[in-house]
Amino acid sequence: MNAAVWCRSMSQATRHGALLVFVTLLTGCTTTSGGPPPMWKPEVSRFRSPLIPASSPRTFAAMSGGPAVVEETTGSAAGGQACGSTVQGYNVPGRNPDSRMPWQLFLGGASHRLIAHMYGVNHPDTRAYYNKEPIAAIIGDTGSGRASLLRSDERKLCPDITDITRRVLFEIKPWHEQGLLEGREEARTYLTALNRTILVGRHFTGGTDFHGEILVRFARGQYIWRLEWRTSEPGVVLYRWTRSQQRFESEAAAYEAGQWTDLSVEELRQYGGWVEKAVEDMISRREKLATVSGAVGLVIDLVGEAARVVLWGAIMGRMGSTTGARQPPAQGGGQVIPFPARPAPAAPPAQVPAAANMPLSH
Amino acid sequence: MSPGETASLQLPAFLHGTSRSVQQKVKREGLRCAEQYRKEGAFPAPRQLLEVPLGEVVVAQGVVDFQHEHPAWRLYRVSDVLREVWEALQWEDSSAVRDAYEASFLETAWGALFFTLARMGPVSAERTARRLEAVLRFWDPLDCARYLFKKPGAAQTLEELMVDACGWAMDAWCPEREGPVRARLEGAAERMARATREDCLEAILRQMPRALAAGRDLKHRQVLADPVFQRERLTRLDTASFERVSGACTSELLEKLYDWDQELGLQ
Repeated sequence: MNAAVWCRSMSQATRHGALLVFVTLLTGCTTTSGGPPPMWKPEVSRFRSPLIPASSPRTFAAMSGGPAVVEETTGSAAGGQACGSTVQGYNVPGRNPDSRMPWQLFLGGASHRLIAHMYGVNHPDTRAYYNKEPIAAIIGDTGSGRASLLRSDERKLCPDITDITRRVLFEIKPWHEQGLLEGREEARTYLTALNRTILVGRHFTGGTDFHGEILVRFARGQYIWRLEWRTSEPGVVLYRWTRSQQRFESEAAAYEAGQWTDLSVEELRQYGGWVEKAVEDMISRREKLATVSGAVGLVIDLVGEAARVVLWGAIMGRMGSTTGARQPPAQGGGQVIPFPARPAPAAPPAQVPAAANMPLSH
Repeated sequence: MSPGETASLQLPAFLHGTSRSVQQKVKREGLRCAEQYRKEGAFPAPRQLLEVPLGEVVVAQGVVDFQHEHPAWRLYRVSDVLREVWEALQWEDSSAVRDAYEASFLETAWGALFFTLARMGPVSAERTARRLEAVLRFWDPLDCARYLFKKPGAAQTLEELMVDACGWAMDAWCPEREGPVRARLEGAAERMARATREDCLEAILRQMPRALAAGRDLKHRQVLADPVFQRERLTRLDTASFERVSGACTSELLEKLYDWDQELGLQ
């Protein structure tokens, strides 16, 4: 996410009030699956944390944007001021033990990083920019267009995923109607800006066909968590976190059962920080991930006994259609386990009134 | 600093610190550079260089910079200096400004490595040769540090870094896979520097299968995979378009394949 969108989000937050802001943030983490995803759940306001001050722009930016924004804008001091002294810090390996970052921030940032990361894994040879790179700098870096043609208010826009090679972009949002509406509006804004710079050649369009899910198992919690994302319409990727309804011996058993339910605040509080850590460690294994194209499913040990992440084969299209598993990586404790192929997902969310203006795809 | 003057690696002071402090320092540096560029058409040297202790880690790419609260050498933040310059100059002639900035600092160890890794602008054979030659000139001081590039927890030697970042150049221009990395880079740089258009064409055609394999959603794969088609399309490119692909960089070739794929769809 970016400064400009962040500002727009701030104004929205001001208009709708702090409750809306927080609902918007958390519904991406607390939807019920199994049936059609809920679009808008005012009752989710039960998840509003008393620890988060009203209309905290930092919180919104962090949840809907990338983690770099989180750390740059909150830092230890700012985070402490924003969230008060009662906010629980997490002594997660690899993090500053004094960090006062509130637990809510981990999942939003982690979601963006994971999804963007998986895009990179899926497209290792394209030139792509993620989360906090302004459009003007992308165009300036690559020479793909003329940055001076951007309006001043467009220069600092930062799409979540901008693939210069394929000329597509994605905006990542929580899985609900509001997320879809915002994603659609922002994707359209970004496309208009980017395409203004292109004088010759292919224009940018909203990306399609990017979906996947990641399962996280917590040894302490026994439950399996799931991050799921879908391209709901060209250029808009929606994500949600759910967990298995009951305890399972393995990720495979949880997956087979296919019963996912909301996360409680307590669960988010207890394990959200570990997800962030899991994401860091997983991303550090980018190359291994990128080379397991023959595998159907992949399990990676992340923090010893603390957590494991299962990468579902459908995350990468090329993995979903093959069978057989490779040998586990020699280092890092990772191992590959076989899973059945998963059918292509049905289009998620929303029957949202079609917006006017320019289309997101050709 | 002139080539060979010191065996240790020196980086601008504005690249060291916590993420937040580096962010503030590069912003100031960018404004200072913009001001002088506006007045004199040239960029000032950094006010202060700091020696990187032997074996210390330099963060070479933002994607692996997770511990923002920890002081570190953040080489990748050079791009933020340039961004500030662009912003201060209202993004006018951004390509020319970028090229001027690169030309100014390619004569430093840190600039050589940054621009080689960042691959800004058209990744032509000529430009890539200049970048590789610059890194090779500063090989010894650059070899004093370790680098974080793709794996956050695994610092790499300079040699490992160059294989990761410039493997495509060695594969395309020095396909003989034997010999040390430094020698292969020297061979690649030398060939790229004196490459004719026909030489570039051959290097591109050598790398096309790799690019084609990466474009999994290409719709006209069979046509695109035909070397006759590829050669014919490449031959038709104007000078500027050919320059973009002349280095045979995989991502640039893939971009061209997507261009052709769309054109085929429109026919």
